[in-house]
This record gives sequence, C-alpha cells and structure tokens, in this order.
Amino acid sequence: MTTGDPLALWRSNPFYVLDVSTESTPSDVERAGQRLLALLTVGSANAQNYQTPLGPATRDAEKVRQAVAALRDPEQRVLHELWANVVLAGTQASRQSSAGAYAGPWEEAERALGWSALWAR
Amino acid sequence: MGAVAGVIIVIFIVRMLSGSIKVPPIALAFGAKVGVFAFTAAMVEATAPDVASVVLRLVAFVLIWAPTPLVRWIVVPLRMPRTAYWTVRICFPLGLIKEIEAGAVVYGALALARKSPSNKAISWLERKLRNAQTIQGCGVVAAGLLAALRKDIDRARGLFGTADRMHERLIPRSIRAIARDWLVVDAARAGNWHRVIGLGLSSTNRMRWSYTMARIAERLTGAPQARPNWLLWQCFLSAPRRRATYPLFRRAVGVPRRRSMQPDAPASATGLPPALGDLARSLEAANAHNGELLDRSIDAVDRELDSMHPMIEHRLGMLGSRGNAGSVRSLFRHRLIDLAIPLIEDDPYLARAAQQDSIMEQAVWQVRRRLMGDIESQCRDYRERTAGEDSLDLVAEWETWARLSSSANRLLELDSTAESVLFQMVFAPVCNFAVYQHNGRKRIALAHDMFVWLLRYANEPEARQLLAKNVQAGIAGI
Repeated sequence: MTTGDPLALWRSNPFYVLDVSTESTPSDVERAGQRLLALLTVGSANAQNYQTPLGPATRDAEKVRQAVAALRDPEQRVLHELWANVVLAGTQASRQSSAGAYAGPWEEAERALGWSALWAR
Repeated sequence: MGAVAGVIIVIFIVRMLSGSIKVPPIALAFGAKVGVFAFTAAMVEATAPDVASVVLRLVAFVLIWAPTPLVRWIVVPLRMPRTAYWTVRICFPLGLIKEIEAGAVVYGALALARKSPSNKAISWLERKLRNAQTIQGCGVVAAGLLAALRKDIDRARGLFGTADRMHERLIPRSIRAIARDWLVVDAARAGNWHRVIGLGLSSTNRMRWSYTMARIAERLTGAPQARPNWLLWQCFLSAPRRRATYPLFRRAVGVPRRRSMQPDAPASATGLPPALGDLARSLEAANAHNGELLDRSIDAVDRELDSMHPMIEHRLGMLGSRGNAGSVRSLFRHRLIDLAIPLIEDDPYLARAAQQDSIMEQAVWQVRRRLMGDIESQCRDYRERTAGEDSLDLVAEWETWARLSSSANRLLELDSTAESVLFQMVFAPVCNFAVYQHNGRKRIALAHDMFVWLLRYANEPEARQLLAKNVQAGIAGI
C-alpha cells in the first residue's frame, strides 16, 4: 500500500523541470538545462524549486540532466508535450459532486487518537 | 479448623504445580489478587492511622483491581511509557492475563505515541515484546504500534488488520478497539471513507467510535443509506473522543442527505488539455477515492488521445523523427496506467468503478498480477520453511502472516472472482505451515488464525472438513 503523491510523476515533466514551453527549440532546451545546472552547482535556492500547473515541485541536477536527455528524443518529446499541456481552470471535474467538497481527507485524524502526528506524510 | 484448611490449600497447590489440576490463569490471578488485597488491607488496618488507612486502601484497590483504567486514563496521557509498561506487568490486569508482557508493551507504546518517540525507547519496547512468552492479539497489536512508531505504515496496517479480524478468544475487546481505531484514523486521514464504513459497520464486534465514524463517513460520501441528523447526533453523543471528532462531525452534518446514488455529470472535456485537467483534479487528494470520477477522467483522456493522432504525426515530422504516432500513443497510455496503479494499490475499492476494456481495467489487472506474485513468493517461502522445519521468531512470524493475509485480502477486494484461484494457491502451503507451527512449535494462536482465515475461503468439502477440525483443535489449545 502506498500513500505517495499521485501527481509527483506528472510534475516531473521535463518541460516543467526545465521551465521551457512546449514550443521551445532544441537549442532553447539545451540552454535552459545548462543555465539550471550552473545555478544548482552554486547552490541557488530559487533553482531548486519550480512551479507547475499541478503545484510546486523540487529539482536537482540529476532531474535536469534526465529532462534534457528526454527532450532530445523526438518520440519522448512529443509524449511530454502532450502531458505538459494541461488546462485546469473551469474543468468539469472541478465541479465536484454534492458530497465531494466534504469527502476530502480528515487532516486532524491523528489527534483523535492522541498521537503526535506520527503518520508518514 | 485452620490447619485443615491449610493442608487442603497445600495439597491443592502441589497438585496444581504437578499438572494434575488445571486452573484457568484468570482464576489463579483473581485468587492471587484477592489474597494480596486482603493481606494489604489487614496490614494497613494494623499499622496506619484512620485517614492514611483509607487512602492506602484506595491506592491498593486501584492498583490491584483497576490497573487498566489507571494506565489508560492517567499514565498513558502523562506520556510515561516505562511506567505504563511496569504498571501493567506488576498489577496484572485480568483482561490481559493471557499476554501480560505484550499487553504491557501495548500501553508502553501508546504512551510513547503521545510524544516524539526516541529510537532507544522504541528498541526497549521491541526487546520486551521479543521476550514475551505468548503472542496473540495483544502481541500483534503491540507489534503494529511499534511498526507505526517506526513509521513503517504498511507493516502496521497489516498487523492491525490481522488483529482486527482475529477470533475473540485471541484478543481482548479493548485491544481490538486500539487496532480498529488506528485503521479508521489511517483511512480517514487519507479520505478513504469507503474503508472507514467497511471497518465501522463490520457485522461482528462493532465498536462505538468506529461505528460512529462509519455513520459520519456515509454522510460525507453522500451514501443513500446515510443517517438523518438526529440519529447521527445520537451516535456521536454515545461515542468516545467527542471533542476530537466534533469538527468532522460538523462537516458531516453539513452534507445534505441524498435519496439515491446519482452519478456525477459525465466529463465533457473538448480536447486533450482540458481532459488532462479533469484527470489532474481526479487525482487530487480530495477526489482520490472517487473511483467513478477517476475512471471517467482516464477514459476521457484516452478518447481525446485518439483524436490527436494527426497532430502527433505532424509534430514527429517537424522534429525529424521516423517514429510513428502509434508508439507515442502507446507510451501515453502506459503513463496513464502508471498514474492509476498506485491509487488502486492504495485503495482497491476504486477497482469497482473500472469499465470493461478501459485503461483502469488494465491498471487493475497489473495490480492484481503484482499481488498474485507477492502471494506466490510468500507461499514458496512457507513451503521451503515447512520442509526445512525452519521458523522465525514469533513476532516476525506474525508479521509474515499479516503481510500474506493482507495481500490476499486486498486481492479479493480488487477482484472477488479470484477467490477460488487464490484458495488453490495458498491452501496447501499455508495449511502445512500452520500444522508445523501448531505441532512442531506449539504456536497455537498463530496456527489457529491461519486455519480460520483459510476456512473462510474454502469451498471444497474435504478442505472445509479438515480446516474445521484444525480450528476446533486450535480453540481447545488456546
């Protein structure tokens, strides 16, 4: 059984990691990769975090190298282009069922047992 | 007269020690407590002045006759794990008489859970549990609590799940409640309300708090059988932990009751990006246990993907690739399956929403195959260890059994038609291993739990007859 974040893989889309658009040219991708690697080498805190339409995520040098390598392969690039183009606003699923708004997790559940927030989050 | 009584008592004790008279441990403990209490009362009466005498007698009464409330209401909230442990060990609560050491570890672990636990304290309790002579329900719950303190949540779930469905002779009700309440909290914190309902409304051994939580969960999920407010209030007021549960209760009361289960409006995304947006929403925590929404969202993405074929070919051409659009679509579908797999592993209930020939069904199939693989490898381990007469220590053996039964239960939740296949796979190795544990290692409780579990799924008359006989043998030995 897992309790991981199901969107984590999606947030690791190479276009999000490199902070480039899906229309960027191969040279744009390479430049973005080099710039981020340089920033990460000097320990830039800003470079370690990035924003995606699915929420914030963190990057490291390995993730950047993998992202650049993935976008060099045309098939992988098209695949990631498809996944990167997400439109969240005004979607059907955002209009939850009548109970959906209430049926989310119970954040303070541990307190009911008197436990001091020991569950892995 | 007194001398005659003394001689009778001495003869009784000698025969009891030689094994010709068998006295239940609870009767022995009760007798010992009466003796100690009478002796203490007499000593206090003879030595202490009036006021001190009353106080000392009260202290003796609580320590001898009510150690469990003392530990549960005072020592555990004061976060004193060692005091909790030793109070149970020394005061011998009658409810935990079969497993005093393990019961003491349970209360030690509960006290530890109320503060930031140190490795040293957890290891101390683990050592105490390993040295316990008997491991039944209390031991399994103690192992579960220690696994939870170590943040090994999967192991804790397996152990608590095993304790929750255990035969009532193996586990005191108060200890079963600890296991079930943990499972309820674990499911509620993830928003897995279907599981909360399943735990709280189980046909046997209903408990007040988990029952109330199940009724709250029915309202939260908009189930048609959800109770009206006045009945919900009644459940809430009769349950413990009212202060901690109140915010959730208020949330549930705010949900309008539904007369029937109406499906949400179908997704009407036009184009892949909005369909992916819908999918992202369905994967978010608030919706992660809504199987219909997930299935519909994945299906919508899959449909939109088909219409993207010319665009994919065009993009591949622009990038100078000789690859074909079909392989990109295939990779895309694999990613969709990869997104659904962890959710289904986490909550097999989602599989009920999978439509035939859908991406969800493929994800369900993969989870099923992985669970089958896990069960098969655990059965192989049992087969080898039975042949080699090789056994782990008792706690580790319970953990192994909890893992196997948990995988099997999840498989059945995923696919109820797998029952006969599963039984064919596990019957011989588990039954033979249980016989070895029963006869060779005298681990009656563990073997009994295995036989009971197998009997639940046995459908062949011969197997049922054999297992029923083994279950009876286990009950006689517990």
